Amino acid sequence: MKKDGFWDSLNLRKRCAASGVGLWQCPHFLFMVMGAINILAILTANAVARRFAEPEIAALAVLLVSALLFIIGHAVTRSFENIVEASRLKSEFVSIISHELRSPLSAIKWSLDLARAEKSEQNLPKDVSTMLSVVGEENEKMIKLVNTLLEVRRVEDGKIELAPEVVSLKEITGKAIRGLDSFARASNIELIFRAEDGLSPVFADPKKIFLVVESLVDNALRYSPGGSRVSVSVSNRGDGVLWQASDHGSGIPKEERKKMFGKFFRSHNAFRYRSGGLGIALFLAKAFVEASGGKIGFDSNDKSGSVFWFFLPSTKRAKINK
Amino acid sequence: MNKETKIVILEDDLALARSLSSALGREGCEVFSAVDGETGLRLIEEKKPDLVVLDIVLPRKSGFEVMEELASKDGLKSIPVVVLTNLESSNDVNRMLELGVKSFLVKTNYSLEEVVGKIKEILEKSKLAK
Repeated sequence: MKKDGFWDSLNLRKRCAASGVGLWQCPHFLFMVMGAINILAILTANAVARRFAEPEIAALAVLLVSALLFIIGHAVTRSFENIVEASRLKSEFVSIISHELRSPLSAIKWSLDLARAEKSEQNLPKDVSTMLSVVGEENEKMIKLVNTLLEVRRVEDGKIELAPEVVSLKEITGKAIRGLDSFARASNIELIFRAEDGLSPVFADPKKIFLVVESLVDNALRYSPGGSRVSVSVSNRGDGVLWQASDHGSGIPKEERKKMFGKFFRSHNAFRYRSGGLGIALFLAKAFVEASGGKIGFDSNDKSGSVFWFFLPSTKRAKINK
Repeated sequence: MNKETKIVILEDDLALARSLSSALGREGCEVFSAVDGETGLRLIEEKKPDLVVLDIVLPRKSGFEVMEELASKDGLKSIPVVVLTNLESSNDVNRMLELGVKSFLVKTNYSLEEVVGKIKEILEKSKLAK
């Protein structure tokens, strides 16, 4: 593994392509060039000094070389700056787009509300009112997506806003599972939920934890083959509550395990299953659980499926990082 | 709500303004709307409404500026204001609440019915206070 990592880091073309800049703008490449020039400079300076035995010329050569190094160093810094700026612009763009999308989305939502309000609905043919329901549901999906994108921005900026209270993971999970029940049935997957009696309450933001639970269960369903079973459980563990969802999907390939909680990461397996989503659910889940003072992770076998879990400290011990 | 209840809506998105106006109209309110902050302020001064619905991002004068001007005028200070926006950073919310806003609603997160419900609730409270 270690050897692979080292040789991978030497594969400059690949690394530079990944950062999306040209070879001469790529910091990794420029660093290598600088290193080579550095070695060359010392050797040349040494050789020149020996041959001419005139220290002035040798010193001048070294001076020139260091000037060159300075210029390259400057270019490296600049290219770093460009990358940082590009990344900032990118997330700002996502944020602006999301805010802009919210206006038409709410306009659609409210116009539908108006059309479907009691007084006008009576005048609508039945199939039209069914269609309006579909439009409304799809619109809600778009609103949810846009809200998720805004949430990602907030996490990136380190501005997660939590409204924690004493809550029961059993209730939150129950609610999420009821919402996903029809999806499970449509996918022919048995969705089971078990909660330990006398479960400790936790101190967390119910809306955020609901999203965590919803996305973990949703993922388990998405990556499970039809006819299999997804079991969700909550139980007291140590001084907190452990939440688990296990599936019988194809597991997570070894090389993907490190990236699971990364932003916009989607498993290659996703394409073999009912894919969907932006690949940010786990990124957000990790941010929310950790901001609530908890831990999140998974255990996976290549063949026998995966178990995703998170742990939240019980109310007595809970500390929230605001 | 009776016919005498007057509401001014400052909202630059016409579709939103229209749907909110008709929903409030159905509740029996008299609704006036403006699409920018400056005309909006004039409308508020002229109509002396029972409640103002305010967007933050508005042409010419932003919701913040409108709020500041309302707070500085004796006759207008007491009019309850509901902010209806798509911004929701805690900075924006806190700044608006400091300026005396009664309620801060994020458009996409509320159905029309819920928004109308909030407005009714605030109107009732302000009538009791009088």
